[in-house]
Amino acid sequence: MLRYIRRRLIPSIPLLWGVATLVFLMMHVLPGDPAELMLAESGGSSQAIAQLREQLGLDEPLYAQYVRFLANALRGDLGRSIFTNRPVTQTILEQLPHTAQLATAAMVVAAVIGTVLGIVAALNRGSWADSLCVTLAVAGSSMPIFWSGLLLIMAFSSMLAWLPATGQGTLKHLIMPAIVLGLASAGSFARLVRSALLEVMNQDYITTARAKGLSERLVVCRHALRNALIPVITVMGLQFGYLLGGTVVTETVFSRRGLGRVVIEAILWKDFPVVQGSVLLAAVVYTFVNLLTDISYAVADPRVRYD
Amino acid sequence: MATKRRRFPIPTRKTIPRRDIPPLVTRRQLRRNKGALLALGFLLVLGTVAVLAPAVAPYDPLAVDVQEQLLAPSWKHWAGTDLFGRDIFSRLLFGARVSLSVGVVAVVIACVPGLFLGLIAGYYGRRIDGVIMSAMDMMLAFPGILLAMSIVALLGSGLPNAMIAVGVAGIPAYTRLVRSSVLATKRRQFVWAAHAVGCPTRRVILRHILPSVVAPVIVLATLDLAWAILSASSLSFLGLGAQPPLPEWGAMLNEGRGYLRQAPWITAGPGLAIMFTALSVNLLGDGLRDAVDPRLRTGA
Repeated sequence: MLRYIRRRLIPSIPLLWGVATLVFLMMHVLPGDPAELMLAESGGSSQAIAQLREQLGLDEPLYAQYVRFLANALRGDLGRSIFTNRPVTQTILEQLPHTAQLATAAMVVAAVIGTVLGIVAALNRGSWADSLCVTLAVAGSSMPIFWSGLLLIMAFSSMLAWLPATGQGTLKHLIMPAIVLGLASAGSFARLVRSALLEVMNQDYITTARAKGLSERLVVCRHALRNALIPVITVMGLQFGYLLGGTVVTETVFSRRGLGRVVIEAILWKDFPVVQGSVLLAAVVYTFVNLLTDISYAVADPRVRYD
Repeated sequence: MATKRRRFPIPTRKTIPRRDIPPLVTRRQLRRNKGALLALGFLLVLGTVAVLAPAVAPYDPLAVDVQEQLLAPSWKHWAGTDLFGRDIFSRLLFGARVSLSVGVVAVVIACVPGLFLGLIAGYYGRRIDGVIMSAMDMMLAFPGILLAMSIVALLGSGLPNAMIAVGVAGIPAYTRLVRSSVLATKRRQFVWAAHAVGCPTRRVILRHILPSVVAPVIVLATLDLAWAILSASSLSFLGLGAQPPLPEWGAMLNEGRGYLRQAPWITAGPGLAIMFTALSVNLLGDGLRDAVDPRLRTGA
């Protein structure tokens, strides 16, 4: 097992280095000078632009900037926001728990709804229940987050006044955002659980279990589901990236604080150090989640380790 | 000997029954899938309406009329009017133009370089493959929409940039898919045969390998179209894509956000439009996938 973890861990080091390089290059090589872009709207003079370039270190040669960026990033220093002058790392760490809470809650919603739909569809294969579940799954992934969010706000906040439309802090504030974000991912879970379960139900050991005279419920719960749910781990990892991206829209719709809001505001205000820092962090987190996914997959299915 | 040959003929273009030719099998499979057919019908209607929008729209989508502000749906204004008194139905029709073309262009931006890189990586292998696939892995390390957002941040807000951003963020998926198909295809006998008769490499890639990877790429492109439409409208909703007064569905939803109670029809129209379009594209994509690759069939 340790050997497997090491084998998976080592390639992620150059990957992370590459990701950091990509973020750096995006900010420095693509057309558009951050200093000019930032001051363009306020009509900054060329002197102000030069000053800002110096402040951001943009007047140095590219390789010097790159080395400084990598060295600082390794120490956890992602620069300072141009508008608030606060360290980017501090801003991110303050907002991260809010986003992590939303993403986790949404993941739970997605996994529960998706698994239930998938099981119902697979056990009633070919019937109307199957078609209904599959259609619901497709509809879920076709619904834009901002639209389902507004619908829920309209129903549960404006009309019924059951749940608060905006803000955060209590469980009540989390319900709607988690459902909206989770529904968008539930479709992928449902499809996967369905196909995995259908495949498992054709295996010999299921026939054996039935031949032993086990009840259908035991066959499904104890023999089929356990094996069918293994691929779900992979989808959880992949969907995490989707959820991370989805938090940006969800946080905007429900006016929640969080990393997504930080990113979108930084983009709109052209606060490049913040954009750079948060995008880098998101990529690093996503890479680690994928790594954890691979490892937990190997824990759940020993065959993976010996490939 | 001769009789044996007649009983087991080598399948050629002439001996394969017409109904077993792959594209016709696909078409037949697709015809059996009612959901996919319905979706195709909806998309055809939407496409026609989008093309004919200037002719069929009852009003000018940009014409402001303060007398007609926030009117509920009626015979005069089928989907009501917005804050500036603009006819929402007309804006929806013009919005179909924007959303569909944004989706298609983004998919082309993702598909063409992805196809090219995947063919090269898969065919040449070794170092070229290593370099291309590491670059793709780096891009895949970013959640898709976040990558698109950071590209918009650099290029500046606006619909063309949002289109490019969504397209670029989609490249790695095509590269991976094409590469894996090429890896499987390049060891097939007909590719060896092509080499053996002296085909130049470029011809082998374009004439012999490319056709066999086209089917999965079409399926991915269809499913990707839904993603592209949703992502582009998300960017517009966030204020990074289409800028007002352009009638884009995501941007229209954003405009109506403040009037959920007063005038829910401002958000209802574009919301339903995005949902049904994405749903249709997804259903069609699923249908195509099932028809092209029986192993993945959801209904089987």
